Amino acid sequence: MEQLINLKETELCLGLPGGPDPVETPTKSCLRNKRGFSEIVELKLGLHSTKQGSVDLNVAGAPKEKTLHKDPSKPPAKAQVVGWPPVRNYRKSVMTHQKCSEVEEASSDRGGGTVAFVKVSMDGAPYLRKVDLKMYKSYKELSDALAKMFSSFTMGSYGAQGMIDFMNESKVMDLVNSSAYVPSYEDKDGDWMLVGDVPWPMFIESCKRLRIMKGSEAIGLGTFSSLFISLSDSVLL
Amino acid sequence: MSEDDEDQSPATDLRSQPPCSPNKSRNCISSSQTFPDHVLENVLENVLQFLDSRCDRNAASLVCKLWWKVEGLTRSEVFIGNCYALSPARLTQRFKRVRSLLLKGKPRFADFNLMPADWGANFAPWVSTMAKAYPWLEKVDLKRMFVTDDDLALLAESFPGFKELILVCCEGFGTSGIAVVANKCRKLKVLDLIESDVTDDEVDWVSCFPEDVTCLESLAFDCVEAPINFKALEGLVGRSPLLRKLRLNRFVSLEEVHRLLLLGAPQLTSLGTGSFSRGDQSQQEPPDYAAAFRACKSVVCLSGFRELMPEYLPAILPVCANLTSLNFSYANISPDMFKPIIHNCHKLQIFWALDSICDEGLQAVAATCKELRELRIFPFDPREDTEGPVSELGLQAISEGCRKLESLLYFCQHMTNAALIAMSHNCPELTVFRLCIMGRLRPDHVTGKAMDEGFGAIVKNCKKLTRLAVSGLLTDQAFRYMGEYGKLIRTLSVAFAGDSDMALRHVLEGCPRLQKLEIRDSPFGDVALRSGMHRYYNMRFVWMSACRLTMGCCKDVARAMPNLVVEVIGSDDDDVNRDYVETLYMYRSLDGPRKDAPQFVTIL
Repeated sequence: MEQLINLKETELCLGLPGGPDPVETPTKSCLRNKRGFSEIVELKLGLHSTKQGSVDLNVAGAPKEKTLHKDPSKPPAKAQVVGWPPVRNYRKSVMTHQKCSEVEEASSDRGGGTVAFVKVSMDGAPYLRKVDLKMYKSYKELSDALAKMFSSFTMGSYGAQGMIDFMNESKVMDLVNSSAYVPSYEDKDGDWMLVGDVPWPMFIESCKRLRIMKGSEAIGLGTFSSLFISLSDSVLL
Repeated sequence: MSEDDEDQSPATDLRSQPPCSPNKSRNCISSSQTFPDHVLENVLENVLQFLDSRCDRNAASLVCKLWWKVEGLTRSEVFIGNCYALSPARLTQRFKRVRSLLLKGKPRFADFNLMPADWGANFAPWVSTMAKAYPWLEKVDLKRMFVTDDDLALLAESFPGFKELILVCCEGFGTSGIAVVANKCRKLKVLDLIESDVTDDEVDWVSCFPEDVTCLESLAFDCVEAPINFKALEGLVGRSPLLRKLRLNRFVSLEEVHRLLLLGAPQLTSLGTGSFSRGDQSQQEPPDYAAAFRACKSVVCLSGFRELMPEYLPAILPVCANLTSLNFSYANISPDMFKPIIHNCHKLQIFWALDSICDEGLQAVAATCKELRELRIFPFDPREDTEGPVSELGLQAISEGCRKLESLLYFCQHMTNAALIAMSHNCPELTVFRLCIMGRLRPDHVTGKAMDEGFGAIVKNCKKLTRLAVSGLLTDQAFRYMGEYGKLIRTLSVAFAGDSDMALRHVLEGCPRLQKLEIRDSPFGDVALRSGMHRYYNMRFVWMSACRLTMGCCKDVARAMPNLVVEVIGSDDDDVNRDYVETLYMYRSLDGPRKDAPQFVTIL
């Protein structure tokens, strides 16, 4: 049992500190639950990347646990142990390469032949939709399309018009504090940003997926403040 | 990839003196009284040449001196499970007419960065010795060996009749070495590079094949991370009428596959599809890929999909009904994409995939693939703390639908004892059971208990089990079960498991057939190590890393067992605690410790 506790002690996790419990129960284990969105945002903003996946350092030496936290103020993610899970280097490198190129595929601007499908989820909607970003030439077009797509789902006083008019800065400000919806997207680096910051071509290159979230949850997105600082021309149409 | 008993299952088999003198063998005496020896030898040769199985051959070689000698003359295929168990010289002394060599090098845990680079397993001494002894050599099959371009060049030059080169999980060479083999081995039938690390020397190796009709039957280069000259490949396929297996790398696009299939589809039995994505996006009308696959009337084995564009996946539908082997393990396929495909694969026996197909996809497999023998589910995201898409639900479904299952490799985040118990009852044919619960020390996520009962049921009810890999929270009880019931287990992999030395003792004392033992990060120490000393000469190797072994004990073992090579691998900064053994790798050897050990290896 002592040995068991020792091994457990070396386990780092995000949960509450507490006495080492030799048998983990699902309710107590902190990492078993799906990470909430805000946690992801925190992690991604704090650690810069949770895509630690294949960081089994090929060190000529004893395999020791390596911790990878970059921001000491944030609790470190669970230490990545060398060679665990036991997936061959070959396979890992193939998958890593694929993940990179999948992102490139989705975002590269290769002309009419390519599609740039991204998933669109809306808080409260029963299922996901997909849009091909290449089909639209501006934020306005996208906004209209999304509005149509999700019009049946919005409730309350904001019907189809409740879809944010991205172009109108002040409206966004108002609506963030209300219960209306705010579109956000996940970019190439895994960060969640508010839609509308960047020029449209840059947006379709870097957008990996879209999430239309409730306005109240948009507070805390790191890039929200950039809306006030810089708005590119296409957005100000 | 069968794992029969290796070449020298009793360690004394390869002594220069055969085990029994003629006086002790009645058969030999009575025969030699009536017939001259050379006649008997000829008769024996003619009979023994029909023995293929190396187990049979090993047994035959123990009958008497004569049989030992004649068997040595007639063995044409030699299997060496550990390249350091004997020297190349001993090989050529004992076996005179070897045509085919299967050689394995590094231990498996080296694949997971648990061993520093440059540890050894060099092919060089083998190829140079065989170059002189076996000019008629036809086949070399290497696994986890370090092979250089020079080695390949020497091979290509020394063996004029060379036919088959298979390199699995090897490294140290590049496309220049491949080019030499392609160019010089005029009788080459098989060139299979599988999961090997091949450096891109920017050599157009495909163009190096001879200009005339080739003997090629199998060409697999899916692991070669370098673009190829497609025109040359087309030409090669066009002049290789015997080509049956072709596995392309990710630099071959869908359009190119389409063209190749138009050339040679009807003969192909095995196809690796390359990237399975379009290279040239400018064309408005993509070619009819389904038509190309329709022409693949003989394809029974399909792999590749390295950069899958899912909208084209339905093109493979025409071949699904014939498939016995399907490898989707590099393709991130969702359940919705997957189900229409698998629905047609009634004959499937071997299926590899990523966990992106989810439990739902596994349920579809269970519903359709009643002939399934081997299933491997790999993680798309191999980290410990993610939400896994497959779980005990998928496993349960498979166990209920695929009753003929023999081999399982399953990565997941959550598992229950109940699912394992169910599988142990539903799938009695299981010989290989490898479960990786990716979170270390995870218990049954429904009951919260250790995974002892689940694995216990597997070893108890799967009476044919020869290979086992365990994971999750396991106490000594699990190992007690292994020792009690795992009588046929030959390979055991343990990680982050057990409570005390007793666990390992149960296994070492209870599993008489154990050949390969690999353990990491488990609390087993000197007492456990000592308890297995009666077994180590009968095993291929023992690997223990990040356990609780001391240098003193390892030295004792080394001293007590002179034919055992005891390697301690560690970093230099263990000066503080010199007694602690980071990694122990030990194996029997007929020729003493190796001479090519690097600095970080201490041989006791």
